Amino acid sequence: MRPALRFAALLAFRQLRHRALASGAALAGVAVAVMLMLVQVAFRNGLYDSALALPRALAADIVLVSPGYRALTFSPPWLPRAALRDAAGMPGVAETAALYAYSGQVRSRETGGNLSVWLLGLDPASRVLDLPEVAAAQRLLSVPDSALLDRLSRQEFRAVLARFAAEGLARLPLYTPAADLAPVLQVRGLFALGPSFTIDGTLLVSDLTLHAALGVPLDRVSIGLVRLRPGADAGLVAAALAARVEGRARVLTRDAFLAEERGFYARRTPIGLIFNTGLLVGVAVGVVFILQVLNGLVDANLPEYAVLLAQGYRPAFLAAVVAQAAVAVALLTYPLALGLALLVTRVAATATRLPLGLHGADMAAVLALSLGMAAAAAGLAALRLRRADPLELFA
Amino acid sequence: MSRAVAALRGVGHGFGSGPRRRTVLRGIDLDLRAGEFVALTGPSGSGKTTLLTLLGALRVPEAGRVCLLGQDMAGLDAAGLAALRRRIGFVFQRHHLLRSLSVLENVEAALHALPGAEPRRDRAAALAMLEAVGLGGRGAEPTARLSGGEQQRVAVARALVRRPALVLADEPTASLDGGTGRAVVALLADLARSQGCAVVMGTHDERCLDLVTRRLHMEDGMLRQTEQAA
Repeated sequence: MRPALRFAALLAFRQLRHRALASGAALAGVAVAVMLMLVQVAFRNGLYDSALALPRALAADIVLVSPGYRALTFSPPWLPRAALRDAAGMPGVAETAALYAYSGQVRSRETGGNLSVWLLGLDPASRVLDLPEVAAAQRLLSVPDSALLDRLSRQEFRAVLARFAAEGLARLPLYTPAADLAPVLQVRGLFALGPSFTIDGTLLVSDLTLHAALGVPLDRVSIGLVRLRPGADAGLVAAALAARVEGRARVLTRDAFLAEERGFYARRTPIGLIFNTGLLVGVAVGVVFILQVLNGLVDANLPEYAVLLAQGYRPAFLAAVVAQAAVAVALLTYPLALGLALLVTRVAATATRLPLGLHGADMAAVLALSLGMAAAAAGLAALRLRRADPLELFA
Repeated sequence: MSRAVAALRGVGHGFGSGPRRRTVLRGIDLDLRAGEFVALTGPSGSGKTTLLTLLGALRVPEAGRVCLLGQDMAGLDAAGLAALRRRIGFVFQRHHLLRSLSVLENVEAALHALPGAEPRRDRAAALAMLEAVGLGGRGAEPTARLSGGEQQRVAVARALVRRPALVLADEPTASLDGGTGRAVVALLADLARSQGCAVVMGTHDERCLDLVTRRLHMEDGMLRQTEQAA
């Protein structure tokens, strides 16, 4: 490194350190802005991961959905079971299964209020979900009105889980407008899926129980699952199947299905937009705080910078000092921001049971954003350097 | 005869335009030679500062020619002027040392801007210069720990460590008490003489005038009097 550049780095770091107390509030502001960005990303991850938990768990190589289907939320539009039967006869297809997904409410014996649940119906003899606990316990669903409860459901279900833990069985009345006829589900086992932002808990029941409880017609399938024989090409089978069921169902490979589910939240709901806007607000706030640190630095050293210009240093040297100070601010505040973000995320994840978390790539991306903030702030602060004028040094 | 450091011919300069136009330098002719210690005196507003800034390659004249360190300033861009300033030392009324750096680092800072800067050699030069100004052994101290006179001596070391051909000092004693100010100017004169560089010192301080080799007096933008010291 050239001596002038090394000197710029030394000067930037020393001047930052010299003004650490004076810039303390602004530096804390930078850390908080970056922490908010990280928390936004963690929450967005939680949204995507919770929304994709069920789609990921589906035991399918190819998925059939209604032509009007948008995402696996609440009660998706149905497709005729006949389309699934057509798929069963296609070359390369090993087996098919149906999933019924409906939203409902159960009564809380403890509070007397209602809790929103996702009721998933399946044939207890079919492989529908690739979740070990479900595979082990789903035969229990053959008994009418039996249910498996998601152990990761929100805290409102804590009492139900406690009763199940104590007695090995918990009664859970379904809420229907005609209260006298409300069926009572018997929780006979647990599994782990996790709540989403919109659903408090998930109950797994047999298709027949769902039909009996809610009157769901079994020829109307929410999601059709197709598993392929070993060696079959999912793309080719999906294309052939799409031609067979055209107009009645849409056919998606597993990867396309998961990409569409994620894309729905990212692009077709305001939720992704809200998180991304939050991220941008964090960036803007971060730029303002870094700019405050840099402006303080420049203002406190204007005559000294003017002396350097008189000595033959170029304005670009001063810009390099400011830029390196900005980078130092971003790098030095990041570990604190990350630590705080991990703490906040852990507390929020415990409280909501949502899969909030930060991946290495997210941390790197936010660090890159922080450096981008630093670059923007350095660019703005460099304008202030024009006030460093050697002519002002003369009496 | 010693070499020419600066030659000014018919130099004029002013500020503003139209009715607000104010001419501050008129027809300045001046030759500076290596080894000279020149005092530039005159009342406020006489043009001393503007002449110093022209000699410091901090501005170019509106009229006339300035040949500085063998280079005609006409047509020099900002980069050319900055390159010229690397051969000039400055001492200001206030020291303006970088407070976050040590005494030694402040002196070294003057060397990093030079082409061919070499850290180890620069450090040795800065240490030697601190020794020369009587601050040997205090290089590691923060500048805030020094007295006003000591800080101005660091400023002198900073100006001379590059072995410039010309040193410009603007009221270097104004912030110091009489004895300290005179000591600083005496130090500057000694070191400049030993390095063979020219010094131009703008000053109101009559007590230091016996230390100079020539005195230039300015009034109304003109050099009124040129006095060779005894």
